[in-house]
Amino acid sequence: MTTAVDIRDISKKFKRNGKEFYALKDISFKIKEGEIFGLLGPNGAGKSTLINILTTILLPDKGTAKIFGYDIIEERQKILETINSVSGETRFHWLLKVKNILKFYLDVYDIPSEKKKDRIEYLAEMLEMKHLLNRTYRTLSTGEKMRVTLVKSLLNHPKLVLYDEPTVGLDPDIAVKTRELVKEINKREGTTILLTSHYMGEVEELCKRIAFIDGGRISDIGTVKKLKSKKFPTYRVKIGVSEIKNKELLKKHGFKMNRKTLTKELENNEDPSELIRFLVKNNYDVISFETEHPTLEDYFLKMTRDRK
Amino acid sequence: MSLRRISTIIRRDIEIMLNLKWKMVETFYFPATMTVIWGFFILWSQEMAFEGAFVLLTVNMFWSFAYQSQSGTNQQIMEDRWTETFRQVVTTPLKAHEYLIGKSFIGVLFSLLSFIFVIVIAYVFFDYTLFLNNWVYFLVFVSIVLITSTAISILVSSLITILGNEYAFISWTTTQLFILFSAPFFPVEVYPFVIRKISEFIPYTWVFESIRMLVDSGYVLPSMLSRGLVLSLVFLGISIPVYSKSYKLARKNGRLVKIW
Ligand SMILES: Nc1ncnc2c1ncn2[C@@H]1O[C@H](COP(=O)(O)OP(=O)(O)OP(=O)(O)O)[C@@H](O)[C@H]1O
Ligand SMILES: [Mg+2]
Repeated sequence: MTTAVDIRDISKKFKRNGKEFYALKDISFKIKEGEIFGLLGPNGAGKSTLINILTTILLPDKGTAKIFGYDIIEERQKILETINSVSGETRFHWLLKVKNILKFYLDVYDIPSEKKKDRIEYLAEMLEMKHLLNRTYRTLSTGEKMRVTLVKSLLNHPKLVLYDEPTVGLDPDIAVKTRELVKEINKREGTTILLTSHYMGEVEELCKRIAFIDGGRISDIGTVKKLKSKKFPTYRVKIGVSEIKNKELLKKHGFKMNRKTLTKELENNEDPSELIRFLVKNNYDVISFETEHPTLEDYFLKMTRDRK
Repeated sequence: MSLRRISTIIRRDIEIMLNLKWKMVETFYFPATMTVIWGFFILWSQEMAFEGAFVLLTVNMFWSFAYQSQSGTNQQIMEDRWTETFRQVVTTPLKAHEYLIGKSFIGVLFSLLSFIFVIVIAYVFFDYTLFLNNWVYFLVFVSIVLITSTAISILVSSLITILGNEYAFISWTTTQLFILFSAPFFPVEVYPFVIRKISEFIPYTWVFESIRMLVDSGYVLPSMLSRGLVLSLVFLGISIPVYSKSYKLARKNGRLVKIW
């Protein structure tokens, strides 16, 4: 599989109160073509800085990156033709008609005229914003503006899209649709996506792999599943029973009791059905059963709190 | 360089311009009212046989032309920053010089419209005919003003790119400064030595000097015109690499990210 993004040893320093500090320090990782990759981390971690460097509007002090083989420093023009990017703060000129904003970008990306209309129609349809095309940008609501931004981000059939908090300010319905669009585009056009977000549910839904970045360094990288199980080696099983009979026996087998609910922590590789068999053998009526796996949010909180 | 990209930015900006109500006021209303004020001044002064009033009117027309074209091109270049849409533009394949060409084109276009409007008013209402017999000179004056204004706008926006948006005031203070140094209403000799030396390097100076000479003696020394023209081209020649440099510097120091 082709490597979409190959980040090598990137460092970037900024000045804060006259003192230099590393916004990014020796960052290296790769994203494969067709992946939806998540960048997580607390505020000020350096996520946007990395995105800005990949977008070529910020030069790294050290290191470089290749996007589909093009060097971000040496081949800026090629990069800008290949990618597209969007941030939650993206705006367009308030006096322009949405239609014309999109046409402007199509021209800037040199999309042939005969394909222009199709692309706008297709994307507008998908994001349910056809009715917005004739509106002036300033009259749009936050979510409507975001939809324009998302359409813009896909106009040039980018091979890589960089989304910096793309769903900020969207209502749950539009946020869901946005995620669906991202998945759809990823699947249909094979677009590679690098995404930052503070909505853990979103990242968990979209991304298979993530990097956790903190203080300008990567502190964890891998599949969501692996990273979670590394931080949380156990999961919790909750079993409801009709009545608690033999407390001693249950305690001996590691159950915790709360009224008629039994809970037990299991290693990630342990099978919960053992527990049911054990209870049934001992004449318990099992009336409910659920497992609680740590979420990405738990992971995020643990990552940021452990550091302190 | 892609003509398609340049023309699309021009089309977009014309749509913006036509929607900016105050833009029309600035382009047509101010230069026109100024001309009318000075026009009446001429009517009055002619009764008193004061030929110098023609100098005043012509100089004033060029003064507001210079002002208009410089601040116009400047606003044109800065518009994307004020509206926080610059980031969107610099993350597309649009090249820096294509952007500048598109922006300057609009600046020049609107300044020309404004200037033509003013000339017509002066002609219709005050029998102003100086430009009719001297249209070659006028063409050179106009070229010098347009080239210089474009160059200064590019230089100013480069400076703001390096320093950050908080230095935006540079854009409207420089216009005033350049006009001060170019001595529109009186000969440069009035200035003390140092200022005079600076003035000699400002292309506008030669436009105003030429106008005074034209009204006075009916002709202009070609050396004055060529000096102004060469200086304006030098300004332009400096401004473009400075812009590229500022852009690169802003990518290095993180300003470009914060400019939007
Ligand atoms: N252009 C810049 N100039 C100076 N400092 C900057 C610049 N951009 C970012 N920084 C600083 O670098 C650090 C990392 O910022 P960055 O925007 O990358 O964080 P982030 O991970 O995106 O945070 P958030 O989750 O809040 O968006 C911060 O301390 C920030 O103040
Ligand atoms: Mg950020």
